[in-house]
Amino acid sequence: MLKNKISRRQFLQLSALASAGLTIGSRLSPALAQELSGTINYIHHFTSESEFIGMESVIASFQAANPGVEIVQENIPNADFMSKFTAFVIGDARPDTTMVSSERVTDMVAMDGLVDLTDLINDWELKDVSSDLVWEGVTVDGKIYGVPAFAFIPWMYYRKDWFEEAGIDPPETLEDFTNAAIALTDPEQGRYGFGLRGGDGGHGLIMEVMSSFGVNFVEDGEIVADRDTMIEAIGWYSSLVTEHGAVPPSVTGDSYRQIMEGFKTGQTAMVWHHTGSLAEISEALDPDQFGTIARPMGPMGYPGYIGFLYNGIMKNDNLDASWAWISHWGTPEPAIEFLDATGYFPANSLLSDDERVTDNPLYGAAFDALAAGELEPQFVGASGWTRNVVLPEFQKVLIGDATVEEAVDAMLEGLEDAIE
Amino acid sequence: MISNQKTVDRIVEVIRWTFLTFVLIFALFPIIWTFLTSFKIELDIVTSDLQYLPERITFDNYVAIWTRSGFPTLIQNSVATTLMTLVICLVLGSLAAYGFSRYQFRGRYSLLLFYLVLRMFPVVLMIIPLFILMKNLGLLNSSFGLALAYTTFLLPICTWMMKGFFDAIPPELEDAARIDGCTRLGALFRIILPLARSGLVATGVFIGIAAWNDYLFALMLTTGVDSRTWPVGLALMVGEFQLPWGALSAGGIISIIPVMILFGLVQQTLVRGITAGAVKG
Repeated sequence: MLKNKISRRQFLQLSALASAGLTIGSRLSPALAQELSGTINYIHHFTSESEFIGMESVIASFQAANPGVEIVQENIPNADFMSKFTAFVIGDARPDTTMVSSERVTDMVAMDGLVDLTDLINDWELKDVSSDLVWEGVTVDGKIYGVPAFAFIPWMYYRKDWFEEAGIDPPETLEDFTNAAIALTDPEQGRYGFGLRGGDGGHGLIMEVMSSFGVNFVEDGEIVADRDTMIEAIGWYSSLVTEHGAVPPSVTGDSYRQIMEGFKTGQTAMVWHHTGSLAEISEALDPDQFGTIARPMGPMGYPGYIGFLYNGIMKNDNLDASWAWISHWGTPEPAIEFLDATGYFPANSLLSDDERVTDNPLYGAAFDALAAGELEPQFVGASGWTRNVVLPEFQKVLIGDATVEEAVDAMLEGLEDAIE
Repeated sequence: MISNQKTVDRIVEVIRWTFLTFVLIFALFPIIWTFLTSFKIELDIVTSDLQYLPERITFDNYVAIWTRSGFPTLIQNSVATTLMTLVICLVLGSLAAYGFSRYQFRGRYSLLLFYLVLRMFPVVLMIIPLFILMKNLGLLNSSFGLALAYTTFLLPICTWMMKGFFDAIPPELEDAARIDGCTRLGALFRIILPLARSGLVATGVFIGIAAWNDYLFALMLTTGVDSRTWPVGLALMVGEFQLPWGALSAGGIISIIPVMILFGLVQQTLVRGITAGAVKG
């Protein structure tokens, strides 16, 4: 897998170039805009009020520039999104455009659900403001299937006030992290060092930990995962629970909602998530109570996959208007509208020197993490394997039903079944 | 001896009431909790100090549900879809059940079993084929199409339940009516259905609740707020990274009000119907 890291300096350089490019060709020319007409259907999984506020701003700005095009949006809960996407494709009732996440693009392309946009993107004046890493997240077999909209950058929230109270610094290595989690755990006070996501959705973090120890999973259709390294990774991660007791007892049932509520209500000192949840945490805690920081580095890399959200095209009807709509998401105005409404980090570097990003100290961690993070491993069957094998086997370790070695063996066996 | 028996009776009575009280608390507590949560501000909901009674009462959650979720339209769609489902199921189901109850024909037993087998299929397996069928018929995104979709899995249960009620009515009553010149259909509408009224109500309530609460079919077969139903609207309030507990609680309370009103109106008939025929098969 191509590893392409961007430094903060490179970001700023690219943004300077892009700013010049913006004045020339970031929008369609007025003449061309007037030619576009029709109704464009767009499916997505925005559901919260803040996301809708942001999206409505984007629709308004697009329709102001393209008055002949009407955008009809349909929101689908994230958990059911692929079911409905599949129904649309199989039932030949495709909408024009769709939201595409980097973890789903492989499966979407496998069912022939997306239009190849390679030629359109290569001719697009804003292509180069996004790094190769961004484009890699939506590229399958050399073809590009989406325009980047946002980035979900994995980082860590921590209770600044607890760390100050204990006189310890935020962790930079996994060893520091373990020691901090232990030091900040006090069950009698109802405090735990780390809100480990051992419930629904926790598979992602397990994969991130294994990757940070140097585990590669599948290359060219072959399993290349090293058993011993997987054991080391799972062993460390599970020791937070089984050996140190530094997580809440409800760990095996804790999904996103539980770890976030636990952090917001003062039960945990640290929690791993990404930039998408910043607005929620900021509403609940004061700036002097919490901070953001890049996750501590693992032995071989950063324990976090960068997730990008893109927009793609599902059918060739009215391609010009569909392209205009999805490429609009890649321009600065929608990114700012969404950043204001949701806190979602832009996927390209155009805004990296915007004061709304640079003046917010919380976003410093995002740049650090962006420089170190990688994309989630992509192979057909990955989603099912991680959810249905990796997570349950890890949970068995947490409750003592399996040893680390047994769990890893089961994961490898499941991986063989998944890629067949 | 008598005092011993009285003591035993008292103990049994205490145990029975204790058990019933426990069941009542177990069943009612989530609803009461949701009701109380619907009047709390967000800060009092997500907190490490458990609050049973709201310290600060707000109606903002109900206002939010009404104004921000498209609530009136969603409820309207739910009512329309549920009523259509009820009419279709009760009409077709009653006719089918009458045929199964009164006629002996080849394949009768197999057909009844087939209806049961249909009920054993996970509904999710039908989603894609149903989507394709509805799309080809132009019924996607319509309350009528959704009602037809609900009928696919509710009609078998309606037929089975009504058959049970019809079986409990002596056929001699119809024979008497037919001797007096009544047709089969006339006997059904004039004699059988009035006698099976409580069964119709019981069946109708089951069908209505199932149609009202359905989420999966409504999500898959509708696209916009013009046709979406209330359960889908409620689910769409759950954000990826935000969860408005207060507003969702308000939505939950509002959504059970029609069911509670319906049950309040028909409860006596419903209980009579449940105990009269259906469960005796």
